[in-house]
Amino acid sequence: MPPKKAKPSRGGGAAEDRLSALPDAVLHHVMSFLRAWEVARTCVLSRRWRHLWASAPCVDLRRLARRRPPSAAGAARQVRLPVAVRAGAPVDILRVMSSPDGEGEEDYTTSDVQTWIRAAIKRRARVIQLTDHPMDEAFFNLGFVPIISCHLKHLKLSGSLLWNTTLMQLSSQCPALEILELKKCSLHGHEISSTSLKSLTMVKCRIMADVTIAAPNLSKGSNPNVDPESTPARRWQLATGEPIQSVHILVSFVVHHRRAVNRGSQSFRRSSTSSKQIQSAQATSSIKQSNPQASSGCTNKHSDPVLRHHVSRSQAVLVADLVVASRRGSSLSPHSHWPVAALSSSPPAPSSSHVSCPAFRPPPARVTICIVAAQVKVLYKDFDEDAIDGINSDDGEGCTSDSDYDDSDANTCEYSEIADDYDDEKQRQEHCEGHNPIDDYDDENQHEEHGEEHNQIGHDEVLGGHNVLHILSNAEILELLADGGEGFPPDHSNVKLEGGCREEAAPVSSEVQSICADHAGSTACDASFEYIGTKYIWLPECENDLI
Amino acid sequence: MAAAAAEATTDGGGKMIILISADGKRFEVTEAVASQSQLISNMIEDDCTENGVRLPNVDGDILTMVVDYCNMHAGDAAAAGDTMKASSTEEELKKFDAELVQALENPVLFKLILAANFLNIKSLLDMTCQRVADMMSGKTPEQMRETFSIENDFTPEEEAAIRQENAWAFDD
Repeated sequence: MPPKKAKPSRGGGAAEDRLSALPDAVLHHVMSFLRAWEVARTCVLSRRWRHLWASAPCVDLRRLARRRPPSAAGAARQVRLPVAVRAGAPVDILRVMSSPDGEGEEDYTTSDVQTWIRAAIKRRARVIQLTDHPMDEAFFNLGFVPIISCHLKHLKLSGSLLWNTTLMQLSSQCPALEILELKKCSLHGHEISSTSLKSLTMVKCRIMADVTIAAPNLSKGSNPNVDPESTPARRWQLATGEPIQSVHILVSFVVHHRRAVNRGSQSFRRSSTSSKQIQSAQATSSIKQSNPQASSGCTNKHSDPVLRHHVSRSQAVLVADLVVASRRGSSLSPHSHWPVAALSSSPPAPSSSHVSCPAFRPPPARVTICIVAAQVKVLYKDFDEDAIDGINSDDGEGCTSDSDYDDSDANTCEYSEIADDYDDEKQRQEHCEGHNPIDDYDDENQHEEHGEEHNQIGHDEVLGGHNVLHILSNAEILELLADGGEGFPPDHSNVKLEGGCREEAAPVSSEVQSICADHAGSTACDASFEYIGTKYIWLPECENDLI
Repeated sequence: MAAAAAEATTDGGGKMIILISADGKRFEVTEAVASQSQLISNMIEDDCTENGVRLPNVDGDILTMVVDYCNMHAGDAAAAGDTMKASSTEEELKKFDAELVQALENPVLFKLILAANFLNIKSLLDMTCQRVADMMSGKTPEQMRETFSIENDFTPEEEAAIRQENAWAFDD
């Protein structure tokens, strides 16, 4: 129906209705910035608007519940309509929140969300964004929603539980899928394999099983609209705006030592203490600059840390936000022992190559793994089943209140948290060092056997990041980008990162470079990793304080 | 400094393009500035900008704003290589955009939307549409009608029926 122009208001100085005079496409564009119910309300404005909303290509159902006082009981049924009611109109973009507000009466249930996603897929949605509810720590189970679509191009999931079936569907039954963004998801599958995938982003995901990522066409993020104030995720998309093949994975590993913790086995105790530590990884992701040139520009030694090595090389950016759950004590610390398994340099035996990353290893190319914001956080908690099951948010994400990681700044609170806990931890450590005979397994000679032990654990137990971290052992270059200032206690603002190597290091010799962004006024950050077998990294200053 | 930079751009950026508004005003801009408009970018590709680009849908005063906007944002793109510059420009840009969009009165806002739509300048269209959406957001239909002078041409019965039909959107 051609838009019927609203009559100019009669006299009286009333302004002309220029809004209704806009073309449908523009009005739809305006509607794309509104939530679904706001869009639907326009149907009573005038005849011009009567059916306009129903063909709006973008359906945004986020925060549906929040705006609605829990009084209207009948609304619960009606609210299920919004997608269905649009009788056959194609949906281009669906934005939806995985669960209603936990408080009060629920307007919709997760099965509604599933229905909406199904409906959107049926209506050839090109973009589906599922946002988790910041207050709700349960995962949204995607297992019941078949994600099979030849139109789906961009899928963004938060707080979702992805089973193997889903990953398989994404891999083989979404031939148009180019952008996959996973935030705070729990991955229970073994493979993401897609030839169409161009951009893969994983933030704060729990990787519960061995995962293989095979996506040969992962390439530069073709996102021209980079928000200048963007978070690392976007920044690294920007960083890919070079003619290099690159893989950007922003990962949070939750390494659960389930067996060890459950049984209190000695092997765990050994491993957690005999390992050389990653004590460094308190680097922050808040590199102040908004593009790679900027972030490199402020490094002291390396003029172009990100791009220097890889014109025509493959690059993987791994933003490790490492969370290790263990069972001792009760404080958080970034300066704690890092189980050797997690960063073990001992490679998986050739026969048991349970982690392979073809995308990271195009034959002639060198692999660069760039750790940005490496943060090690050890939860000295009693064993917490909830944390394993992902129900408990004890992993430091409690302060993550934003639902959209694009503008997430969650890391910042974590760092300050760590900074706050630092002193406690220091004291505790000193205390332990004094008289804890069991913990004094810090014998270098035992590394090898423990490495094996851990490999074994990796085979028969659920070990999250362990396996993925083996990627590190394939690295030839490891770059650490750290921000020297933020999050560190004042007396540690002058951060040095150093690397160490061990004899039984990675199979491929690794060159590690650490780049500290020069943080507003703080000097030094004179970081130089010469070599590392991805065995351990530590902050000498911290170590001196601790030991 | 700024002049030198501009000159350098002119020298390096090559061709200038003349935009001609509906009321005959002429604007000379660099190719880089003009090609933020997808429409003009396509014309540049097709090499049909020789005698100036006539924009019969866009008034001179609106085109002034568009050209200002494009100049501002082209500067950003050019400075992107220079990191220090980029970061300072960013803030300026945000401020510029915010001021621009806040200052817009209804008729001008809609003219600007139409111009952005016609010229196909996505960022400007997004910005202006977002502004309209902000004006609509959180309002009842009555308030929307008032804000935008939309005439209600439904009978009360019709309106009631439509509300009933889409009740889920109305119960606050």
